[in-house]
Amino acid sequence: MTSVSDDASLPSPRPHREAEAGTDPDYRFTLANERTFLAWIRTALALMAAGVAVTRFVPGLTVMRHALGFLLIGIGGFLSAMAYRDWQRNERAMRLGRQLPRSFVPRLVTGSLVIAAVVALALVIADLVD
Amino acid sequence: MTRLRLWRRGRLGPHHDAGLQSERTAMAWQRTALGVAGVSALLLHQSGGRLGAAWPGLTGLALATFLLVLSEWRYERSVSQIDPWSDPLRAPLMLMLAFTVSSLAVLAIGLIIVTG
Repeated sequence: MTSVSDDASLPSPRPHREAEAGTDPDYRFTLANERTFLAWIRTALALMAAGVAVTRFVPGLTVMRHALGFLLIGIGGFLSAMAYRDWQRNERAMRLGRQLPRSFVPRLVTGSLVIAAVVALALVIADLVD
Repeated sequence: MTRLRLWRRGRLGPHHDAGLQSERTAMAWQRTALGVAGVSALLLHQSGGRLGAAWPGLTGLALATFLLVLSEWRYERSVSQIDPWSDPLRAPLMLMLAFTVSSLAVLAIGLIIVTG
């Protein structure tokens, strides 16, 4: 247990429950992991908002608009679940003093955003050309 | 006794937020709550004023309000240094948030299909 505080009256860490293997990491790391989770949740929320906006405002066939919008919203929902999974994996790795696990999520988000942006751009350009 | 005094001192006293970790975390929660509120407002708009279709948005707004209050409460608790690093509610809270946001995504797709 590492503490940044020099306060001598700190309560001693609680005995660990069996579900929590290892030792409590520096609380700053715990909070940083928590903020990372929240940042992913906000990314998911932004994708969902973008998806709703795409279904309403992107020009072109309704099928195309809805497909693109639903893709973005779906990725948002999936990201939210993955955010929890990654948070949990990071938390466990920190408790056990292991290296943080790799995640495919950033690559997935980047890839799908690039595809979504290209499709949306194509729809807008097709509408302008018409 | 010491614990009780620390608890009451809260934000007003010389608090224990070295590096302002707790403050950043509380603000991250608040931004997330605002994000939930924003998406919920979009869903409310999408429901077109029909009460039967408004419940996803209303639920989301309720969650956002709850998260805002909770962020403040957790911040106070954290700077009062009552075990800031071991919060038994942390994992359930995060699971609940992640689950709700995923559900909002599914509901958003359903709402757009239903309302067109």
